[in-house]
Amino acid sequence: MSVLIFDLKESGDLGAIAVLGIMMLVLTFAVVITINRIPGFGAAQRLRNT
Amino acid sequence: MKLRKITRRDVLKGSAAVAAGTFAPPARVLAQAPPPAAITPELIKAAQKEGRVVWYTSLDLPVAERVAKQFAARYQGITPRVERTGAERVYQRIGQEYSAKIHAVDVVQSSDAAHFIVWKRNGILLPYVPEDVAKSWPEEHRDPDGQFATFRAWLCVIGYNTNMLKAPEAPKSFADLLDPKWAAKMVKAHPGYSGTIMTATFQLTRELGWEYLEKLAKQKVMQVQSSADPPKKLALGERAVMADGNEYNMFQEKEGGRPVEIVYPTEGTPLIIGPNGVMKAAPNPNAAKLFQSYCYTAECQQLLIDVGGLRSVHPNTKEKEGRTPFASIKKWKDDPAGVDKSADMIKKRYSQLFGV
Amino acid sequence: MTIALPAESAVRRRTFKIDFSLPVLIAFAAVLCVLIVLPMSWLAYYSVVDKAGQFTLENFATLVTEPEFRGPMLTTLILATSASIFCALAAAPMGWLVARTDLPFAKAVRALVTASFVTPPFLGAIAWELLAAPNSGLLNKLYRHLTGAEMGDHIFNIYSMTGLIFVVSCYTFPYIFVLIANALDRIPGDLEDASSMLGGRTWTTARRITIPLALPALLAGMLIAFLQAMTLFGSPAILALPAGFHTMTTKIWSLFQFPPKPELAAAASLPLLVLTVMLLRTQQMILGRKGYSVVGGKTGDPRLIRLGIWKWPAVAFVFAVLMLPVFLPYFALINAALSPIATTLVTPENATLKNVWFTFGLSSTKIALQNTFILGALTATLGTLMALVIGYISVRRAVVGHQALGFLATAPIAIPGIVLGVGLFLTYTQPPFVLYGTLWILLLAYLTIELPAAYQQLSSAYKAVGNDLEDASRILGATRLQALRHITAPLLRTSVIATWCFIFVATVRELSAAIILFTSDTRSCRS
Repeated sequence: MSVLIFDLKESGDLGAIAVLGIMMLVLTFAVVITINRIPGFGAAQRLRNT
Repeated sequence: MKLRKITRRDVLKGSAAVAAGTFAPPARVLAQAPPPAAITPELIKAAQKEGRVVWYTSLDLPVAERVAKQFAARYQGITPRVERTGAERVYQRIGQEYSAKIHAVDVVQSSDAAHFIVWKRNGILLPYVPEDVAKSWPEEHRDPDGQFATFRAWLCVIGYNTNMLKAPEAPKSFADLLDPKWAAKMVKAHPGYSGTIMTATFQLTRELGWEYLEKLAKQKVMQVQSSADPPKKLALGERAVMADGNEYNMFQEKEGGRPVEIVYPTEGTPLIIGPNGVMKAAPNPNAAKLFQSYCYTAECQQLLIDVGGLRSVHPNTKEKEGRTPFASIKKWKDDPAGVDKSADMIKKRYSQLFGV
Repeated sequence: MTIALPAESAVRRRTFKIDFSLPVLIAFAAVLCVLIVLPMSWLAYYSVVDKAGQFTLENFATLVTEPEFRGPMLTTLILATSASIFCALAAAPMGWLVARTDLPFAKAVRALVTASFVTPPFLGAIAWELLAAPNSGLLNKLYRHLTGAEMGDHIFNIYSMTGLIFVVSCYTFPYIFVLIANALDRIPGDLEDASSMLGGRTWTTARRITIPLALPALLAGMLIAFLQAMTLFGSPAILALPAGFHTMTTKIWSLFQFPPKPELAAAASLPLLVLTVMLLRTQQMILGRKGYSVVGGKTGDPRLIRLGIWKWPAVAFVFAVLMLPVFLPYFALINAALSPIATTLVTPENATLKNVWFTFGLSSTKIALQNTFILGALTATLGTLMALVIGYISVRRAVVGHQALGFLATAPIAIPGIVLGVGLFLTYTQPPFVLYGTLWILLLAYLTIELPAAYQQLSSAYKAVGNDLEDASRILGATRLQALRHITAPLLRTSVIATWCFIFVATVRELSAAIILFTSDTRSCRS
C-alpha cells in the first residue's frame, strides 16, 4: 500500500493519496484498538501490583 | 563459493545489460512485419479464458485506468491491471524482472520511445501488427518489423497559472524562463523518472545546448518526478510557471476548469511519442494481443483524445474543439535512437546541474 | 508457544532432565544469521569491488572526494542531530507530564501520541506539503488571508531543510515519548515516597530520583530518534527532492535508479552502519552504568505530582505539540480527500466523493490492501517470536556469543531499508533461494527491518523484569523454558502485545525496501 501511495505521489494524484492514506490510518487504528481490547491485556500490571 | 559470487554479480550486470541494451549479439528478429491481425471471435474467446492482462505503462493513471475500464467493458471477463509508474522506472523494472526470469507483464507502454529500441534489440517484444496499425498508421509511427507502434503522441509544453499571471506577463519561450523574475516560481519534472522529460531534455539540449539547462538550474526550480505532476502543481497554485510538463494533463486541467494555460514555446515544442508493445513472454498472450489491438482502435484512440487530452495518429479520430490543432504547432523532431545513445549521459549531467 | 512443548514433555519425564533450551536458542541464532548476515555480506562485498568484480577501494574514495556525496552526508548528520534534539525537547516534558503529574486528559494524550506514532512518516510529509507548501499550503493561504499579504509571500516553506527537520521530528518524537513515559511509569512510588519521607521536597525528589531513573530512557530514546531520522527515506524523498537536495537515503536510492550503481550504494551505506554501531556502544555504556532493575515484585503506585495553576498551561503545551503531527495533518488529508482540488478548503458546496470512487476503482487498490494486511500480520507474529527469544538470550546471557546475537538483532537499524532491499534483491534472485517476486522476500525484508525495534523493546522489558524471579524458579528446579513460560512470559505480556502492534504498524508504513522488492506479481499475490 505504501508503494502504491508513493507511486501516486510521484505523479501528483493528491486526492487519491489522501483517500488511501486515511484508509491506511483507519486500518492501523483498528488493529491497535482491537489488540488493546483483548482480554488479559494489562495482566502484567495487575500481577505487578498485587 | 567464488563461482557463485561471480554468477550473482552477473545477475546485476545482466539486469543492467538487458536494460541498457548492451546485450550482444542482439537476438535475430524477423526482417518483416507479420500480417495484420484482426480482432477475431477466437482471439476474444482465448483472451477471456486467460481472464486478465497486465499493462505496464507510464500514461497518467486516471487516463490509463479509463482505457482499462473501457477495455473491460467491451470484452467482459478480462480484467486489465494497470501498473503505472514513470517510464524510466517501467524500464528498470522490466530489466530487473526479466533478469530474475519473472515474466509478469503482457503489454508495455512507455513515454520514452528509445526503450522500445532496446527491448527490440534484446528480442523480448513480440512482432504483432494490429489491423488498425497496418491500415492507417504512417510509416514513421510504426516499427518496420511490427514490434511496436505509436499508441499516443503529445507535447512537452510550458504552462502558467492564470490566477497568478496574466497572459501578457507569461513566458513565451524557453529563453524567457531564464529571466530572474521566474526564480523560485517554476516547477519542472525529472528525466530520471519521466520518459517525456528524458525525450524533451534530449531535444532541448540538441536545439538550445546544455548552456540553457545550466542557466535554468540556477533558477531554483521546484523539482518533481512525473511530467504529469507540474500541471497538477500549477492547478494547485503551488507554482506560477511550469518549465516542462505534459500537454495532455494541461488540457485535462484546463477543461476541468482549473486556472492553467498552455504555452507552445516559440523555439519549438518537444514532440513525445509513446509506443505500445506486446511481450514475447507475456503470461496472457491472447489477452495481450487483444489488448494491443484494442489500443489502436478508433474507439480507444478517440478516448485518449477526449478524456486524456492526447494526440492520435489514427486518421478516423477527431481533435477536440478549442485545442490548438496538432498540425499548426511548431514541433521539434523526435529521435528515439538519439535518446537511446545519450540517456545515461543526460541523467548524469542533469542531476549534477539540478542537485537531485 | 510451540517452543514450550519440548519443555512440557521434559516435565512429564523428569528422569531425563534434558534442557531443550540450548538447541532452540541455537536454531534461532542460525536463522538470525541467515536473515541478516547474508544480505549484509553481499553489501560488504559490493562495496569493495568495481564493476568488473576486482577488489578496489575506489568506491570509498569517491564517497569522500565527490561533493555529490559529501553534501548528503552532512545534510543527514544535521537532520538526524536536530531531529533528535527537537524530539527530546518536546517528548521529555510531555512524557513526564503524562506519567508523573495529574495532567488532565493524560489518557487521550497517550492515545494521540500513539496516533502520531502509527502515522507513516511519508504520509505525514505529504500532509505537511498540503499544509505548508509555500504557495498552495493551507497554512500559508490562511496567513495571506489574515494579513492580506501578497501572492508568493509565505511563512512556511516545507520544501527546505528546516521543513524536513520539522516533519521528521513530528513523526520521530513518539519514540522518545514512549520510552520516557514507560520508564517513568515503571519507577516505583516507594522510592519517591522514601525520598519525601526523608524530607526531600518535590523538586529534590525529581532531581535525585526521577530524573536519574529516566535519563537512560531519554538517552536511549534520542539515540533511536537519531537513527530513525538518519535512515528515513519517505519524508526526504517527498520534501528534499523538490527542494533540490539529497539525504544519504535518497542518494542511495538514486544510485539504484537506472543505471544502477550498487557498488557505490553499498559503500555509501557503510558509514551509516559504522556510525550506528558507535552510537549503540555508547548507549550500552550509558545503560550499563545507569541501568536499574526496578520491577521485581511488589511496588507501590507512582506518586502523581500536583500541577496546581500550571495545569492548564501544561494542557495547552501538550495539545499544541500534538497539533503538529496529528490534528493539522489529519485535517489536511481529510480535506484533500473530499476536495476537488487538494489544497482548496472543503465547503458543503464543493465537497466531492470523486477521489474516493477513483481510488476504489483503481485496479491495484484491493490487492494492495490485502497484501498489506497479510504481510503485516505475518511479520508481526514471526518478528515478536524472534525478538522474544533473541532478547532473552542476550539479556540473560544464555549462550556463548550472545553479544554478537544482540548486535546482529540491532544492526539492521543501521541499514536503510532501501539498501537492505537491494541486499535482499541480490541474495534472493538466484538459486538456492529464489524468492524475488514473491511475498516471502518482503516478509524477510520486513522481519529484518523491524527486528531491531522489537528486540530493543523486548530486551528492555526483560531488563526491567530483572533476573531474580527467574533465577529463583530455576534454583527451585525449573528448566530455563519453564522459567520463561511461568515467570517471565506473564510479566512480559503487555510488552509482547505492544511489540506485535509495533511491528504490524511499522510494516504497514514501511516504504523503502518495498519500493525495491515489489513487482507486479507480488501485488497479485500469485506467489
